[in-house]
This record gives sequence, C-alpha cells and structure tokens, in this order.
Amino acid sequence: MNDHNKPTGPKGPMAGTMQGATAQKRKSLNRETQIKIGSQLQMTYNEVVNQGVPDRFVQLIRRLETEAVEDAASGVHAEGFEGVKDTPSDKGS
Amino acid sequence: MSPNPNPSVSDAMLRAVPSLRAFAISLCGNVDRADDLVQETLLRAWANLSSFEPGTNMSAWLFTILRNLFRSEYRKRRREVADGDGSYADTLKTQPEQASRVEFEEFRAALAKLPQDQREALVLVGASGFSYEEAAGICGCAVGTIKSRVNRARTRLAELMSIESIDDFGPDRELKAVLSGGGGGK
Repeated sequence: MNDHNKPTGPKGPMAGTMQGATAQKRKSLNRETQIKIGSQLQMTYNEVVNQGVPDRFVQLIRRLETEAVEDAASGVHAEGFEGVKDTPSDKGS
Repeated sequence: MSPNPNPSVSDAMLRAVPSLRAFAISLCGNVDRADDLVQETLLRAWANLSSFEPGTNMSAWLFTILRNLFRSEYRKRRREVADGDGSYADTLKTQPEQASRVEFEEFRAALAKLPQDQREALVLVGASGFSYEEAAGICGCAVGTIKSRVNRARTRLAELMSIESIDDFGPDRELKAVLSGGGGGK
C-alpha cells in the first residue's frame, strides 16, 4: 500500500493524466479570477450605491406622501391610488 | 387601512433606492433608463402598498417589482440592445483609480455578455446581498435554479476575464497554447 503518498485518490479519468503543476496553476488562476470577479462585482455595484438617493426620488416620495395626506383630508380613500391596476405580483416568465 | 402615509414605509422605500438603482443599471446598462425603471417601481409599489405584507422584506418586494417591470418592458422592446457604452461609467461620481480603471471596464463588458438570467442571479446574490432563497423569490424560480445560474455566471465570467487579462499573469506557454487553440494536453 502506498496510499500515504496520495492523500486523495484519483478523482476521475483526468486525474491520472493531468500534470499536477498544470492542475495547480489552473486552480490558483481560477481562484484568483473568482476573487477578482467577486470584488469587481461589488465595486461596480457599490459605485452606484454610494451615489446615495438622487433628489428626484426624494421629491417623488414626498409628493406621493403629500398627495396621500391631501386625499385623506378630502375624504378620498386609498382606492384613489388605483391609477395603476397591474399588480406587482405578476411573476413573468 | 388608512391612506395615511406610513413614514416608515416611505423611508424604507427611499433606503432601498441606491441598491434598486444599482440592480436596475446591471439589468439595462443605462443609467437614465435605470432611473426611470426605479421611478416606475416606486410608483407601482406605492399604488400597491396593500399587497405588501408588513414584516416581510421591503427591499426584496421592491426588487421583485423592478425585475417584473424590466422584464415586461424588455419583452416590448427586445430589438433594443442594452447599451453597454460609456453612459454608465460617465455618470459615476467617483471613478475607480486609474490603475483599476481598465479592469473595471473589462469587467463591465464581461458582465454585459452574460445571459440576463445569469447576470441578475449573480448580482442579486453576489452584490445585493440577498440569500439564494430571497433571490429565488425575486426571480420567481427555484432555489436550485438560482444556484446553478450563479455558478454558470461565475464560470463564464472567469472564462471571459481569464482570456482578457491573460497578460496580467505573464508569459505562460501552457495557457497560451491552450488559448491559441492548439490542444495543450499531452
């Protein structure tokens, strides 16, 4: 038994033919690329997130709030909002 | 159910805006269109507040609405290809450092090449911080589907980026041989 030479046995037909060094290189290249992908993805995303809330959206929400208060004051109920009828729960595709 | 606006609801909506924009930009690749998509999402959400279950994740709910809006819009104007041109980077207030600028552009280009299903799954899980379960809820598919989409996205990106940045790793005959199409093995 020379099992102690190989902590893990051959994993498949490729294991015997693949050069250890090549496999190692490919693996580390892969890991390096994966780390890069993860950080690039977050960087791309956070570039936008870090811009905060553009003013147009603050204005929009304030306007909606004001309209709701006015509608409430004038006796219009929540149904007054039903300008948009589509429900958001339309799970397309 | 009074129409009285609940401040915590509007605050939660506003808090979700930065990540909604980031998600929207990753979907359509254009800042102006993304912002319109976010605006429409907020209007749609506001009009349908009664269908939001209090206590559940407001952010996930808004992402679901945004994704559905994008999907239906996308179906309408399919001929229009998402523009991956400068409009995105140009709008960014803080540019990445020059050194990483090229990499940044390369990454965006690679990301834009992914199929839409894979890109959204990767962004939801890898950047928006949603769990696989939440991402599955947002995309209306099984958790296993999200997992395999994320894996395929990562593999594909790794392929695209390995090829594009091959020189970063210096001369490497074995890899070059593989890339140039000569069967590297044996």
